[in-house]
Amino acid sequence: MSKISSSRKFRHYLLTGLGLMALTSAIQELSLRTRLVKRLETANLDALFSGKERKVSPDVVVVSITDDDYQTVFGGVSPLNAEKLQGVIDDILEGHPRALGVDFDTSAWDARAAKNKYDGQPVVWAREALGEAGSLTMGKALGGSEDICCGVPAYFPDEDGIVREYKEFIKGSDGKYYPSLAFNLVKVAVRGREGCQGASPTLERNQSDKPARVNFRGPKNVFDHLSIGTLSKLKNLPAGAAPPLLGKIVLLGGAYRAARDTYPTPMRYMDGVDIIANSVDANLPGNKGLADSPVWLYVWGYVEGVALLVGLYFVSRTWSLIILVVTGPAYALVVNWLAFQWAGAFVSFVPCFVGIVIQQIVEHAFEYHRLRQENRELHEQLKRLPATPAGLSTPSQPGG
Amino acid sequence: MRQNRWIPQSCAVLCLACLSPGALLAADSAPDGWVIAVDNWTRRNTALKLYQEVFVNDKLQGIAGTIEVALKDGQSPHVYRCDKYPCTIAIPEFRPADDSLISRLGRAFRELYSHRDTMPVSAISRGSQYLHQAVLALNGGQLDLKDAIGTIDMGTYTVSLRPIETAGSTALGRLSGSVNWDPPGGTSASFPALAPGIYELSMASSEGDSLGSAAVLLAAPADYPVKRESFGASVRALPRDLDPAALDALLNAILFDIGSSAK
Repeated sequence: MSKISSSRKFRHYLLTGLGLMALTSAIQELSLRTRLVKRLETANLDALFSGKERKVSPDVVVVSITDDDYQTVFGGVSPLNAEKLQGVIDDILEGHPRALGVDFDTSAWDARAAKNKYDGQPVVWAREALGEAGSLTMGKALGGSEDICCGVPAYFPDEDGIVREYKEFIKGSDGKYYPSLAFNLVKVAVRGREGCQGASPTLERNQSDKPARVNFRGPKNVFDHLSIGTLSKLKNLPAGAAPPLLGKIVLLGGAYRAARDTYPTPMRYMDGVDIIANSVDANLPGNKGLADSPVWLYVWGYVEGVALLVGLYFVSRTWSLIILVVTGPAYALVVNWLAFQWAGAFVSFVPCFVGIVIQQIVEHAFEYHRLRQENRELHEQLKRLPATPAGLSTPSQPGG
Repeated sequence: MRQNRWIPQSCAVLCLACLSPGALLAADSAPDGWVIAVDNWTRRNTALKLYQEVFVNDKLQGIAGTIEVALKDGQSPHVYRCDKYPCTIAIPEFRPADDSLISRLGRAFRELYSHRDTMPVSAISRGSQYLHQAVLALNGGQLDLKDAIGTIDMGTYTVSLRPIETAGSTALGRLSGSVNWDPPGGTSASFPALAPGIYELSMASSEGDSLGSAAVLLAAPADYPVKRESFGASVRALPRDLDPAALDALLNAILFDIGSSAK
């Protein structure tokens, strides 16, 4: 009889807990669309970025035009002289990089001459997206040459004005999907010139035009930077010395103030070319992009929640309180930290924890209510009892 | 024919396994820069040669002449000059520092719980909010930068000076040094070979972020008070509502006027 009763009690406990976990999950899904939770999410993401181990990228090198280069080589004139800029590109290509991304506006260049010069080279040219979101038209690259490899260096600031997102593909006003500069640079680096993708009316299953978070590797100094002044001096490195650009993915961009190409990011201000470098690095095979958590991670979170719920049934109230208040959040924090650092993934225990906490509170409330009722009934029974002989009515007091 | 093994096979495999991480580390030691011009300089008592690799925190000893080092820090090549033996310079730190899990956690929590300062976007197309034109005191190779620098965080910065017009040596190229900025005490950078004159001062943080550049007039201790006062008086006489670009041009002109009047 007592076995059946305890089994029923456990079933009630478990079903209440699971129901509350499901309810809090549904509330969380809805709250994720609110501004408040998005702000909390970005604050948490920035903290996780700050805690990342900062190691220099072995794959990506940035060649930048500094203020000094801008004055001495380009005479302080914008847009930069095409011939001189082509001289820099030639210097980089002589270093045999795996792929080169040029983050400069080349729309006014002589199309035929430039195309002939760089035909067959592993170069991805930046092309500007003009207009507003939803009606973007694509600018020209390399003087409007056809059949060149190009990409859109477009990034999307969050509501707080900080750049954290990019898109793999950007939908133009003509309905076509245009690949980003980072996407095509990774493709060219991995598969060669043939890997470059042009505009297409549809996307493949594994491609997306939805905003994705940039998994920032770190601040500017996690990438090797060569100024063009330095690059020109390293042209005559002897055969034995390791060339700095050999087999690397190189990005050429402007770091001079007149370029006005600096944006606030979770890593403070960053030049546009460094944001692209972070996107390229994160999307290289073996590196971790920030993707949505896979389904199995959600399932795993729930399995752990159910295990915790079951476990708490068999421990005392004191221990369940300690586990919920201290151990639980600490465990969630550690697992989240490790998942982000190692796999660029997020594991959310919040719905499960909140559900279990509510369940424990409800259980406590019911028990408290039951005890109060029992107490009241006992008092009433005591009142109804006839006057008892002395010595039997009250228990003797210790030492009394 | 069976060979006699002087090391057991299992031991050899174990030794190779133990050595492999070392080999990997050695393979990973890409240089942080190269010597691209050198006179008489050494490292650990060995003469430095052209295109020799250098690493962050390397101590280079100068006997005579200059050394030019190209680093992967995104800056122009760094020039160091040794006029009086012995001179020692260290390759400046620009790589991310190795940090422990505790310090990374600390950084993450600080980010989470601290208030993020508003990150302003300057709508001006040129100029620098950190550096501005000034007359600086050059005393025994020590250059006090405090008058040329606005509000910047404490820390180590790369300082470089490009001569625009010098009284002493017009042939001098770009000079590089570093300053551990910690005002009011730590505001000086060491430039043993520097001559008074007009220079373009450029600075960058240890992470390689440029603080911009500005023209500065370096004055010997004897001339400094007079030139500083003269510059200050000229600046005070300027109208207050000047366009920033015009103000920039006028300050440069004043500096050049004061600098050239001493020749």
